[in-house]
This record gives sequence, structure tokens and C-alpha cells, in this order.
Amino acid sequence: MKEVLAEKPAETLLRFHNVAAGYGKTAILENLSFSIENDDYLAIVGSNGAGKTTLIRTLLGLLPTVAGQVEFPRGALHFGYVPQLQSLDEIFPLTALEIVKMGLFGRLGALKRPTRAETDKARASLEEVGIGELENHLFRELSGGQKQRALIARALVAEPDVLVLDEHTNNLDISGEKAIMALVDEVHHKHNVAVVMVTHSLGAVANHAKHIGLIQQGRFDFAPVETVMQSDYLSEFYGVPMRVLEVEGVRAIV
Amino acid sequence: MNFRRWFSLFSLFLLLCAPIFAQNIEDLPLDDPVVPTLPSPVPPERAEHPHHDAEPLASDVVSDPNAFLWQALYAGVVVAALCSYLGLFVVARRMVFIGVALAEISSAGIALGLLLGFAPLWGALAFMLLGVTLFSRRWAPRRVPPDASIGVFYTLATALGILLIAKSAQGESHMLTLLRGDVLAVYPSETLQMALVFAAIGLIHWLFGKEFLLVSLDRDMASTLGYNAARWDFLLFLTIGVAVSLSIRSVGVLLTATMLIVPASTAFLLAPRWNRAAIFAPLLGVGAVAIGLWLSLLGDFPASAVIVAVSFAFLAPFLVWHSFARRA
Repeated sequence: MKEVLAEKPAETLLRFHNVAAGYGKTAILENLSFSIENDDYLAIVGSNGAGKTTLIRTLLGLLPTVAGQVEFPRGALHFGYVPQLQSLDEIFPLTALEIVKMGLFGRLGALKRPTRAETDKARASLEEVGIGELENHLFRELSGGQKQRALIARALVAEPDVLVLDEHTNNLDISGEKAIMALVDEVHHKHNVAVVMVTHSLGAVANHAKHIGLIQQGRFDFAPVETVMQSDYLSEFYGVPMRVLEVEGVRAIV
Repeated sequence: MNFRRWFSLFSLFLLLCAPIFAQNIEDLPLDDPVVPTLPSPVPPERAEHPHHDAEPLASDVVSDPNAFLWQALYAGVVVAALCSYLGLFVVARRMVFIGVALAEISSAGIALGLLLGFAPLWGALAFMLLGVTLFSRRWAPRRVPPDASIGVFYTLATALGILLIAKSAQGESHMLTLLRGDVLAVYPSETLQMALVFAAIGLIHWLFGKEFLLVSLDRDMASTLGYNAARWDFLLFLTIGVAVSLSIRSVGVLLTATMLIVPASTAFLLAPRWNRAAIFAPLLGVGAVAIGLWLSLLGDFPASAVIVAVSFAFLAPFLVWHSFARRA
């Protein structure tokens, strides 16, 4: 597993150039221009149906762009994708370890199966996210937070350049949400991996992300978190009065 | 070796198999079955089932009067072993309807072959390929749910099969045979051909099982890992389609659909681990065929129907047990 503890100089991994994202010839989001650095911690925030998933699918290369260009200055990237929980059909009777081992398949290629050493690597990944003792439990029998941890372990074992999390705090209570965010923070720092999170909850990511992309009714604003987390900025963007308070270094929106 | 090379090799293998089938099919006198004149393992009712495209080879002629039962067992075991395993994907991916639709589409291909006088297997394979191509990609407008578009082709294929059979020289008796199948009327050469092709499909699943499982569970994850999910899906559907086409030709739609659905469902309840279910499903399928044939012989019942009943008898206790366990 990649463990680069030393800080690396900032390097652009991915750049959106006036991209229109959508399906077929229909653009859902237009004029998307932003870049992701190797040490970035980015949150894309928007309500359901705003186009977050369309943007993330375009970023992952699962959807072609309707217009514009996505550049990879450093070459092709390895993405560690953590999908929404409900996108995985739990009818498949697979254990947590079997799920994590799937993250190795990309580097293994066809015909090869995980060796004992690679299986141990998957185990280590489960240990790292705090559910090593659940390796033989069925994925479907895990709690929501444990499932998220297993999926993060699966993404990490692929040694990604960018960790992409889609609504990873959905259906979690406040303590579960905080625990998962703490884990993502830890992974970001320990593995020096860029993180892109997609969520509908600005409050959940406001104290973690370095950059925030806000999506609302086809509008996309991308700025550092210090810029976004201002009362005036949010009130103007959402068109309703909002206040950002900071208590003991923690931002809250009221 | 990369995927494209393996895919090409598989396609080549299928093409090489084609003459094996064709040699039994050419010059088949559909209107004048030769079977009854042979001292063969084929039971008398085989003569009434000229839908069978395979002409008996010299090796099909044996002296044992009960040999047809052994042939039924061999054919049933071959079909059950593979289809029950493939059924794990069919059931887990919730594409039972695709499995049944592919079976019906293959039947329509058989009917076209009967009408136009070419080898029905070619019709089944051609229609199956068309079906696999349609089902392995999303082509319908987003407002039409996937199961509705599958249903359209299912009903269309059923109607087409009925129309083609009605116009064919052999008439409607074929339709009943196609629907009910006839595991008791399989030639040894057919079983051997099926076993060879099914062994190749089994090898493909042994080699690429992890890829099939990954694209089945999480297509997006597979794509981000660099897999061409659409191609892997196509290969998976192709293996299911070929297995379904050949199985229908030998044992009929009913038994094929049963083997695709019931043993896998039972295995998921019996052994809730993928690797264990992959062992139990074929065992349950083979067990149902063996016990079903034995019971049909004892009670003089239609073999396919008894095998279906035995398969359900395996499933029923687990359904009841899990139903009570959920309420408790």
C-alpha cells in the first residue's frame, strides 16, 4: 500500500476546461473549469438532482464530455472509487475481504488471481479502516458505517492517485458521519492521496475540504473553502439568508 | 494474454465447433424421420419430434434398450452442471427475465431454421447473438425501464416462434416439444458436442470468474479500474446465451430455464457465500436431474416436469426456513 508521508510538491492531476457534462448531447452542467492537485481535498456539494453524479461520472471517465476537455497533465490517473452504498446489490453473498480484494483486480489484470501477499494487503487495508475483525462477515450484514469503511478499503488497496467518494455520509447518523470524515482525513494525510467528495451536505464537509464546488440549478462555483464559507457568499449563491459561524475553529452554517 | 486475444480465441473456438454441429444437421430429412428405422437408444417418441436437428451418428446406435435413460442422464447432467452455475449470475444480477427471454429468442431461431430448412441450431445461435447484443447494452430510451425492453423482445420472440412454427412443414407439434423439451430424446453425439462446448464455457468462467463477478457487482468500479465493462458483460452474456441455445436444443425451454433459476436460488439460501454457492448450485442441479429421471422412470411421469418438481422440492424447505427465520 502506498504510504507517502512526506509532503510532495503540488502537481496538477486533472483539469476541466469549459466542460459541459451530461448524457448524449444534453448538457446538465456547463462551463465547468477547475483543476485537482495531487494534495487536493475537494468537496462537490449540491442537492439531489443537481448534477453531482453526472459531474463525478464525467470526472471518472464513465461519461464522455458533451463539450470541452478533461486534461490529465501527469498522464492517466488511478481512481479509487467509493460508490453510493445503494448502488451495490447486496444479493451477492460476498465477504468484506472479498469486496476489498476486488480493488486489486485492476492492477492484476485478467487471468491472474490475488496471491497470498495480495490478500494480506487487502486484509491490511481492512485493518487500516478499522474493521479488520470483520473480514469474513458478509458485506450485506455490516452496518452502514462498516460498509463505507469496507468500500474505502477497497478503493485504497488499488493505490489510487485520487480517492472519489460519492455520498459517503448518506444514511449515517451524526457520530457515523464524523467517524467516516475523520477516516477520510486520515487517509488523505497518510497516503497523500487527492480526495474528491460528492455530498448534498455542506455542513458535513465544510471543516474538512480545501476546495468546494457548489452546484445549484446548473450553476457551478468552485473556490477555496475560506471563500465559500462566508455568510455573504452562501447567501448570494443559494438566494436565502445564511450565516456562517466559527466556534473554536469549527465552522457551522445557520 | 489480453482480453481481446482471449475473446478472439473463444470466438474462433465457437466457429470451429460449428462444423461439428453441421455434420449432423445437413441433409436431415425433416419430413421423413429416419430415427424409427434405427436400432437406437432413442425412444419411439423421438420419431414424433423431428424438431431435433441432429441426425443420429453411427456411434449413436447402441444395443442396450435402456441406453436412452443413460443418455438422458448424461445430457441432463451436462446441462444442469453448467446452467446451474451460470444461474448464479442470472439470479444475482436479477436478470432471470433475460435468461428466459434468451431461451425464447433461441426457440424462435430454431423455428426459423425449421421453416427455411436450414440447421435450426444456426438459427438459435444467430438469434441468441442478436439477443445478447441487445441485452448487454442500454439502447432503449431512459423512460423505458430495462425489464420492459426485455419484455418486448420476450413477447416478440414468443409470437415469432409461434408464427414460424405454424407455417413450418412439421406444424404445431414442434411448439409443444420446444416448450416442454425432451430430455429422453437426446443422441449421444449431441451430449458429447454439448459437453465439449460447455467445458469451453466452464474454462472461460474459471479463467475470468473474477472479472465476471466484478462487472456484475459494480460496473462503475470495474470501469474505473480499467476494465471495458460492456465487453466483459457481452462475453458473460455470450456464454449464457450459447449454453441456453444448446441446452434448449437438447432438453427444451422448461428444463433449461429451471436449471438457470432454481438451483442457484437454492444455493444462495443454502450457502450464503459466492464460492460455496458456486459448488452447491451445480450439485443441486445434477441431483435434481438424477433424482427426477429416477422418479419419472418409477412412476412413468414426464421426465422434464419431474425434474422441475424435484428442483423445487430442494428449494422449498429453504424458502420456508428463511421465511420463518425472518419473522422470528
